[in-house]
Amino acid sequence: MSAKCIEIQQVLSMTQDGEPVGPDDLRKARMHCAECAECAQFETTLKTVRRLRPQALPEEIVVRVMDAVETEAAAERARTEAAAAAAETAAAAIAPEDSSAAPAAAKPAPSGIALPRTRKDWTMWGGWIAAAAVLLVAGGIAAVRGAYFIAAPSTAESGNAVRYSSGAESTAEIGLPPESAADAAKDTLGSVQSSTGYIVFDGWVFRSIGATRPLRSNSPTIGIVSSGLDTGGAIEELPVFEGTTNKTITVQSAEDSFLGFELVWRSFRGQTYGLRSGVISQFGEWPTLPSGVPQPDDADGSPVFERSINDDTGVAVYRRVGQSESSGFAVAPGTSADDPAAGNPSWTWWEPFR
Amino acid sequence: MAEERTESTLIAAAKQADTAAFEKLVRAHGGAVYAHALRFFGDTATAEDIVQEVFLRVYRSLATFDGTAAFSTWLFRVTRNACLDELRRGKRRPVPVDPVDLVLPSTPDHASFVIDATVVEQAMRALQPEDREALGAVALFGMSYAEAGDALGVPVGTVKSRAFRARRTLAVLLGMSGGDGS
Repeated sequence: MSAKCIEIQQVLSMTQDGEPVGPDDLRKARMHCAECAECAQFETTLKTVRRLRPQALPEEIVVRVMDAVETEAAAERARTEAAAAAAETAAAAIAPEDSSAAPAAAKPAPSGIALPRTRKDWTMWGGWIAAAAVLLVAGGIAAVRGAYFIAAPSTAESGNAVRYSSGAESTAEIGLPPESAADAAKDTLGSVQSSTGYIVFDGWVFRSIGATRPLRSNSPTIGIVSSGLDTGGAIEELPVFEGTTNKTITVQSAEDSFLGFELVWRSFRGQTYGLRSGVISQFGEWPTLPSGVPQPDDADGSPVFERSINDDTGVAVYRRVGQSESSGFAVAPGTSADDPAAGNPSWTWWEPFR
Repeated sequence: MAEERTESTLIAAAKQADTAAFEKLVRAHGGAVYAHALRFFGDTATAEDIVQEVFLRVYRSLATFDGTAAFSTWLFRVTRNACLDELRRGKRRPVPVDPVDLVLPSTPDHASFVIDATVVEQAMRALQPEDREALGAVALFGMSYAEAGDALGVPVGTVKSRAFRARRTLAVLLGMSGGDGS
């Protein structure tokens, strides 16, 4: 098949999808199809498959879906009515300011709750209401703090150094019990001793920042990551959600908890370069050079890499021999403790982040 | 345009708990959801469960749909997520289809070639997942390349090339065209 045929078939494909195709391009495609049996056949295939568009949903499935929806709707209506009735009852109970003025008018509570009738009762109820208000305010503060954490996680300015305690901080910020925070910190610290909690998503390396929650219950899933996380067990395919920034993602574990991860990155000429790696199947494994980037033979990077300039924090950068560092560069092992690649015994490879 | 008004009217009514309006939405879009789920898992029972799950999710969160994106785009996202969630739960796995297992009609004459819908669905399932997903977004859900790119998190050009590759591969698998499908 010639390049011309590919071009023509792309035009035909775009036409099928309703994408804008110029009249000249379409005319050329038609003329070409009149002469080229293969492209004409491709067009026939498109039309034939198009005619086989999905049929209507079978009636029994529609019935099944609507039964489920009706059940859901009925439950929602019941909840709404119950809430309205409760509100009405509460309003009726609060209405008499002076119980002595309208004792006979007080209606019995339909739910059987002993509503206040005397001044003593009102005093007792006032105490309960005050306590409830305190709890509500405390809950509100916790929620705001949680939302603030989700909305504005801390990021480093010139690359993300390893932060061993981030897991515990995150857990505390979202208001998990202290035991959970301690467990999360223990897990994170335990894995950090060999490396830290890394996963690879779409070729980019992300580092665990501890427990978190997705932004919304309907947060979009953006893909799947394969990892055993820190379980030491089987590798699972876990859904990945968008994070709070373009450098973070959220992973739902097999136990249905949510874990935050941030991109491992460094700044080079003012731009963000993310760490790329081959497969990392468990926490505790170090990022490696991705496939397509050979391992150098010598400590100076030869024969694969050659010394280039430093990144924005002064770390030596190595480019592929004969290539520009702007499309990707390597960093030698042995960087300082505050470097994003700290502790990694291997060369690392960095590329411009999307 | 009239269709858009009808759909937006149905959505508005469904938001007000009008289940009859919601049923019309189910009938209008259920086929695409079912086809996507069936191509994802290759199993009708799972596909039916996915359809139910998708429309329950839609019903529950319809109030949050603000019409900024097309309803079909939103529905595609929900469907895709429902399939991924089901996959994550690990109880159901997609049944892979080997292209060599496709049972094609033996008619050598392309002009009289009659494609059976079942064969096409089998061929769809033999596509690379990312190609099938892109083709499904534009062909099943009627999304533009830009909308599909946004929903799939890939550039527009990637959607275009994936949809084209899917069609080339289909043509080859169905024995209706030469080439390697790449």
